[in-house]
Amino acid sequence: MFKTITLSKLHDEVDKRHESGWRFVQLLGVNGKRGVDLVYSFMKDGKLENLKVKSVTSKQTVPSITDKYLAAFVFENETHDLFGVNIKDIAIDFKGKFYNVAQDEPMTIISPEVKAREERLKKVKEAKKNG
Amino acid sequence: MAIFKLGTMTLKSVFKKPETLKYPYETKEPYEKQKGFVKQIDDTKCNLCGICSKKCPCGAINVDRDAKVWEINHFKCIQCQYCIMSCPKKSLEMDGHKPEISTEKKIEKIEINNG
Amino acid sequence: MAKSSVIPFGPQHPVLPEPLHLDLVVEDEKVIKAIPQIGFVHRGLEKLVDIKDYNQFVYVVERVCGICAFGHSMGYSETIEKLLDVEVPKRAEYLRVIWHELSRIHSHILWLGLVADAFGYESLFMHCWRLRERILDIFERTCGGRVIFSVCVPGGITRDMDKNTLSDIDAVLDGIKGEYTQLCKTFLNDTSVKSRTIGVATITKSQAEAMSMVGPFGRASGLDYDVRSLKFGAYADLTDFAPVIDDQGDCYARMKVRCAEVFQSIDIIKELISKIPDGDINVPVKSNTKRDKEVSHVIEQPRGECYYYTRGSGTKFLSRFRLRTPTSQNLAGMITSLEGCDLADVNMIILTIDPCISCTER
Repeated sequence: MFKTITLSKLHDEVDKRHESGWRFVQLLGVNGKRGVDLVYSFMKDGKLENLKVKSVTSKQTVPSITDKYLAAFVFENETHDLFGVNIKDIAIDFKGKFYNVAQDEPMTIISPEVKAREERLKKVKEAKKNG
Repeated sequence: MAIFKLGTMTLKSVFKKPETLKYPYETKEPYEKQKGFVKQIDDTKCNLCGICSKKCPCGAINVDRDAKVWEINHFKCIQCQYCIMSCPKKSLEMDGHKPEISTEKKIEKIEINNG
Repeated sequence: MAKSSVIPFGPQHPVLPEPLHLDLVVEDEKVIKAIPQIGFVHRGLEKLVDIKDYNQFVYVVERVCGICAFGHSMGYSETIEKLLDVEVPKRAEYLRVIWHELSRIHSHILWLGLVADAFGYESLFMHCWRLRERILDIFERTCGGRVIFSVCVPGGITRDMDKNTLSDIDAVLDGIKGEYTQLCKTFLNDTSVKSRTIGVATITKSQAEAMSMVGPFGRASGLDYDVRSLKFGAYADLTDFAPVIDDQGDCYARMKVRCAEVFQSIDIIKELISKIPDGDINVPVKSNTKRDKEVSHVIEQPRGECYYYTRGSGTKFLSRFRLRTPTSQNLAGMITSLEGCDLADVNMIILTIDPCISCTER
């Protein structure tokens, strides 16, 4: 199940879960309309909870959670390399050289097939509204 | 004693038949559902609809309706059998025997005579 | 005063099984710190979601890793079925679990052969891989392929197994059990194996919890977590299932846990073969995904817990698919376990963790 939180409340929520013994599962980035959505997952007693932070741009800085959960350093470096999200104070920081990609922020590039599909959906929606 | 740790297994293997075949002098007959290369069963069932070409994840199949030709590039095929499952006329099958050796990457063309 | 130097280890190395680079800070034969570097096999497979629709993408997901291939296609299919609200017939769920547990047995026997080879015990390596050939023969007979099956798709499975095949699988597993017991006893009771692994690279339970470790690596340190006890799919019909746990946390405990899991998988398969129901094996799946609907799912791979996430886009294409493999979660644990060990033990410690770098960076 998914819950949306704001960027400023992120570190407090993670602290709360660390105190009550939740286990860290993963961190991922999704390319949204106005920025990158980050999804943090935690699990306790068989219940899986996902916290979503919507539309993070490259101008905002995200606090790292490696001070509480060391296993997150892999995912934070990967999100920085592939999506261009600014995360500060990572425990083991590779400074952009984790994956050595040929093009910066490759997952934020929208390919022409996706653009064509979005235009087609828009046209179908407008046709439904008018006709 | 340390020498006889795997003793029973080693002793049995003296009397059992070997686990390997003397390839290429002995070959194994392929199983009934073995993966192999995709081919048309005969050239009358296909109706050149082109569904197999759209479903292929690698773009290995090309269908030309006007010239009545169905062609496949065996070197791009990943043997996933999605074309065989989605053909509405059930005209494709997978053959598990070893294909002939080729020295260049050529495309196989089949002419369809569906009347 | 001791002088410290840095030794680079990997990615090309005769005893290292995976393409991973480690910078070992060494002081007089003792390792003080290990700094990892991965990224040598990054193929960017998650970007292919743009061009292939959700029915074609299952063939991409299968090819992420060679050993855990069936697990990835099963996890992907279950995630898509959750996204589209499709119910799979019972027989398909049972057969999927039978193939998945056979995959787990094959992975653990392969791993035991690699560990024996790293020790220098090459005849045990040969015997383990000879046993593994019998399982690959079962795969070839039922699915057509030895490593990549292409049998599990969203909506069910594409091939069925008849009664003769199921009873033959039973007979083969009985044969494997007898020989595997002998191999395990030979390996685990050996004095040189014990003196090289007992007390080496110990991780306590509190350390394992702090670093969120998963799989047999975490279970050997006392963590009681196995996704199969959450009872998804056909695992809900098992009579009793308890994960194999050890509390010592050293290399010997990790080896014991993996050897015991093979016997547990053989029992699970035999129980499911005796209970399998008749019926359909496939449900057609053709609908469009719902826009901005998100779904997450977990399954238990041979190396630990694997997490899948997907988001729909309103068409037949997904807008994002992500899989998080157990080895990327265990990297923090691996670095901690290498601190304070001897230089000669490094490759053996990495092998007991059982990394799969090809899955970690798809």
